[in-house]
Amino acid sequence: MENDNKDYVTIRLAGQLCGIPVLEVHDVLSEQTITSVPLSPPAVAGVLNLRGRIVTAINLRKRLGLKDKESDGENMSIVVEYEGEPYSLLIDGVGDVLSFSEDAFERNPVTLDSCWQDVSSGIFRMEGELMVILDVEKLLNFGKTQAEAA
Amino acid sequence: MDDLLNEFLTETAESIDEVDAEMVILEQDPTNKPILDNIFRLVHTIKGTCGFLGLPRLESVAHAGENVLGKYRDGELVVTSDSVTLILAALDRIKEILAGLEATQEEPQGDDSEIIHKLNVVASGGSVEEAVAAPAPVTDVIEMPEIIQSKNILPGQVSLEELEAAFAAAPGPDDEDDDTTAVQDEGDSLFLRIGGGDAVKVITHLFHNRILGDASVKNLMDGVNTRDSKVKMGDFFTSYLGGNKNSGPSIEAAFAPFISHNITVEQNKTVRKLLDTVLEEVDLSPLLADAVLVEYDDVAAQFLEEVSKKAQSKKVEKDKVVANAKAGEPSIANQSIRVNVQVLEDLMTMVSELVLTRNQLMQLLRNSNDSEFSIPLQRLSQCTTELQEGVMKTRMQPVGNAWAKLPRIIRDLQLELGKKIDLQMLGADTELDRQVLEMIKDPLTHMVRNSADHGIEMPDARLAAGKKETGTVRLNAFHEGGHIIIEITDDGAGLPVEKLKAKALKNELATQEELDEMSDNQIQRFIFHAGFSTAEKVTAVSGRGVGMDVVRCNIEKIGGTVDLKSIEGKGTSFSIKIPLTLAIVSALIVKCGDDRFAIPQISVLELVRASKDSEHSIEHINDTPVLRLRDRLLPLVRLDEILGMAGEKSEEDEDVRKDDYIVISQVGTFTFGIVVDQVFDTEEIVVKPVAPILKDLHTFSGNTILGDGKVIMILDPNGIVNQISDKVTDSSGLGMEEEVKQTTARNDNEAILLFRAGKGSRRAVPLSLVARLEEIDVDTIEEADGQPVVQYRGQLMPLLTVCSSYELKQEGRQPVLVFTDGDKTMGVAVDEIIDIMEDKIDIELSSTIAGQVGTAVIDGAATEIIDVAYYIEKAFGSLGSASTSGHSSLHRKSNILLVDDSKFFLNMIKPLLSAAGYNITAVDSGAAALELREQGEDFDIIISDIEMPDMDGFTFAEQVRENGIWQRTPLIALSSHQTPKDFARGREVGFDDYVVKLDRDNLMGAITEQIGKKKNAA
Repeated sequence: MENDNKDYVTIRLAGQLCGIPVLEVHDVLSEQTITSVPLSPPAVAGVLNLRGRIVTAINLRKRLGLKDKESDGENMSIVVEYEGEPYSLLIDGVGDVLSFSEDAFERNPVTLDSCWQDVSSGIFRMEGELMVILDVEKLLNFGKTQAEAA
Repeated sequence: MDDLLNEFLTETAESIDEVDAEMVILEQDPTNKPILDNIFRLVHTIKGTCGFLGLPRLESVAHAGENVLGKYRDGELVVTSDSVTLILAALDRIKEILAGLEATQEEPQGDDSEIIHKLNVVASGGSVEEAVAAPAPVTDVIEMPEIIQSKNILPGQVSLEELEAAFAAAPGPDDEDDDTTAVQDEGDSLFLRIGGGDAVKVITHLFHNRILGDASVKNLMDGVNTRDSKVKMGDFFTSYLGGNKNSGPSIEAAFAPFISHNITVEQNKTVRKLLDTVLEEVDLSPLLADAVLVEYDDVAAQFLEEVSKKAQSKKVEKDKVVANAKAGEPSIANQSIRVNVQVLEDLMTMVSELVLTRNQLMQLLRNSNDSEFSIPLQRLSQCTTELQEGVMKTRMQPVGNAWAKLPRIIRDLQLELGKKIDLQMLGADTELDRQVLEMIKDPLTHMVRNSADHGIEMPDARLAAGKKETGTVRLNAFHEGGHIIIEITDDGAGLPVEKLKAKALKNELATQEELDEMSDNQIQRFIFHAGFSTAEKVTAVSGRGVGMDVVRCNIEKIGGTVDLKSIEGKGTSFSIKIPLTLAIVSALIVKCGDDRFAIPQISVLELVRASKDSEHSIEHINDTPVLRLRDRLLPLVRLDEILGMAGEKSEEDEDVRKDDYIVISQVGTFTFGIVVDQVFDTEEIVVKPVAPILKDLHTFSGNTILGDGKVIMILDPNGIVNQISDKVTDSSGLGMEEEVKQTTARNDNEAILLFRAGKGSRRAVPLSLVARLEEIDVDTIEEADGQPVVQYRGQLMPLLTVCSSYELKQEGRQPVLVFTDGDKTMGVAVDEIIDIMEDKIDIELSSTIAGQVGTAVIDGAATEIIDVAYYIEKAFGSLGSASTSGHSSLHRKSNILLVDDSKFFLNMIKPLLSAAGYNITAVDSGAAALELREQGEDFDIIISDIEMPDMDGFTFAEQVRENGIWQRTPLIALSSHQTPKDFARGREVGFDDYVVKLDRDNLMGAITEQIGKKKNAA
């Protein structure tokens, strides 16, 4: 077991604490104007302009089968890259960057909702809370699997 | 990868391509010294770099090639087609090794000794055949004065061997001096006296070498192929001294090197002296030598005069020479640098962003009056525009880059196919966007290849057809209104219409009747269909049937179009039209719901504002919106519906909204209108591709960022059209009988007679149903049984009207459409025959009015198609004639096979069934139907006539039931016999139902019933 801990950007999604490896996060954005794209898959919230780059916004709640947010609180998003394309993940809020050692790692419990199973690469035990590690690649390849299914 | 190696690979690949192209030029023009020098230099560089990088395989191949080229350059070897082939083969080998090198970063294993050996043989003067035949290096020297292979001789020096060889080859004056015939025979011409042609050859040869050896006159031979010059000069002297002063080459030709280098009087003196020495050297008697010199002075006077003449226009000439040198020399390289494409792309992105920011600032400025920023912002704006233009320019490349490989391809094809082809390339410097260039490279290559392989005939065939032996393939590129047009023209055989027809039939792209009615051009267009190759046999070059459809696809992908014109026996011309750039396009910004969208300007024909009170208004046919525009009926699509946003709108909205904006756009030949809520400005937009997740949305071709920083989607009219047609197919499954739109893949064009009769829109009838058009004098119309009749060809012909409200003319002549079926003839009175035209009858709306099949858009206007069957019934029978609707809903897209020997009947019942939504295949005999069975065609139902020649319906039914795939297919008999006996016989042989001809209701009922049964059984 090596001592190099892994750093995660923590995010809040419908109360659940999740983490994304810090090295994969390119940007954290506050509220942005999003242009909706008609006919797009439901999880695609639209497209936005990030300093001249067009970024596809993913509604993470929809992606994970959660209900839409009720209040109109500030919409944060974090920008990640997948296969060279930037995506912004819409979330409820961003927390600290936390460091975890391998000891605290747990595999996904088998009873976890399959929707979450698909995108999570494990759980970290924290005091009083659990953090779900989100795998960016698995999060974003849904377009592909959908296309294949179709 | 190692940077050095990387750079070497790019550079070498480029050089090789260049050499490739230049070798072909050299082959055609062996005297082109600059080209040869350039080739030599490039190959030499490759060799040198390989040595430096430690790539022994490459180096040795390049070295062997360089040897041969060196010999060419020194004039020691003649450029022949065979040796060029060999060098090209060496280049190919180098390419192979480079590819391996690129993949593995190491030289791939392999044995090049064979090719190197061949090159060496050729370099040492052997022929290519020898090289192939003899495995051992051949060192034989061919003893011809022109081809000298001894050691490296400095120009001007004559080696001993050379002299000896020259003399050995020529029974020179040495031998003849013994007889001293030369001096004695005064009557002979000077030519014979000095020793004939061989002596002249030797003299000119030595003369040249002397000139090259003398520093003061050496420059006269600069850039001159000495061998050619020798031949020319020799020929000249042969005829000149032989007494036929005008039969040989002209002085201008023979002394072209002197004239082109502006020989001075001083230089001429030196040259004369050299000639004198040579004459002495070959032991010509002083008397003869003097005679020759006198002649020479004569000639010299003439070419000196030529030179002085030229001197007058010298200045112009000189400028030209400089210009030529500049154009010819690829020394532009010095003024250009190599930049990674990615850097340019990034630069482009940054500039786009700058433009967007600028636009944003300008917008802010407009909102605030009198800002101190306004002046600097104006300045910034201007700079930005210029910068944008500059960067755009870096992306532009001459279209010639896409052609670079073509000369080589054509050359190889000539050798391979034994044809003679001249490739002409015009407008190679026409510039277009790099991205577009990449996209058209392959289609272009393919098309040129096709032209050369399929188009150009073999030389003997060409001669037989009275054409030049050498075929021409011409490429021409030019700008035309924001587009680039590239034409590929050949003067070959053209596209064989008959062959295409046969092929179209075989591939079932069209029926014989459809083909009969098509124009040649329409038929030739079949080559753009998948799986269509007209070459009789598949050659290595083309003919694999994956050709023109892919070409068309690729070109359409970048928003281009491709068209063709071909005349059999004369040639074919393809014309490709492509946008200049894909990156920045002009687009119309429209609003729909709360979102804005961009529509590329190129596909927008016009804008129409429609409101309830204005001249244009949207009309509805069964909830399908249409627009009347200049007497044409345009189908409309609502953007909100297309984008699935319609649900948000309520009924009231419809009333509140007064204005609709309609964007008329055209996709291919299909024109339609897109209804949007609002139209804004046009803007230059930077097209960015959509994220992969959204790639499946064909409605959008990309997205872009507007001046206000917002992202908007770019609509793709192509995608919209596809979506509409998808929708039509989809809805067919739901049984929406309103949208009875046939979407058969076939090209259903047929000749249609358009006419006007009574109130309402134009009417039409398939021309094939009409027997004759007559004008009948109103006075001859009589009445019988309360019906107007007319005596026509000895018979009484009932006259019908299109609808009951229609009244016959009172005087003058009454136009009548005459229909016949067997011995029955009847006429339908009309007001006016409008036109006959070719179009596809797409029944858009099935009709509930008796006597009409439905409404179709023909030539852009709504037209009612009349139902001939109805009128025939009305005239001759009184069987029920209720409408057909009601039967059509459930079983659309069922395939029906119709067998009837009467073409009239086929034509009549076909539109009827089509209108009810069936796919009809019609054949005119039982045998033809059984042939379809053998081909594995499957149908949901078969309808057959009973009385047919050769094989009647009963026999046909027996055969169908006997075996084959149609054993279980429902069979309906159609006959005018209607006795119980016939019914019984029909059932016996296997017909499931028996319907009386012309009884539409029963027929429809029977079809519905049988298909229903079949479904239940399945």
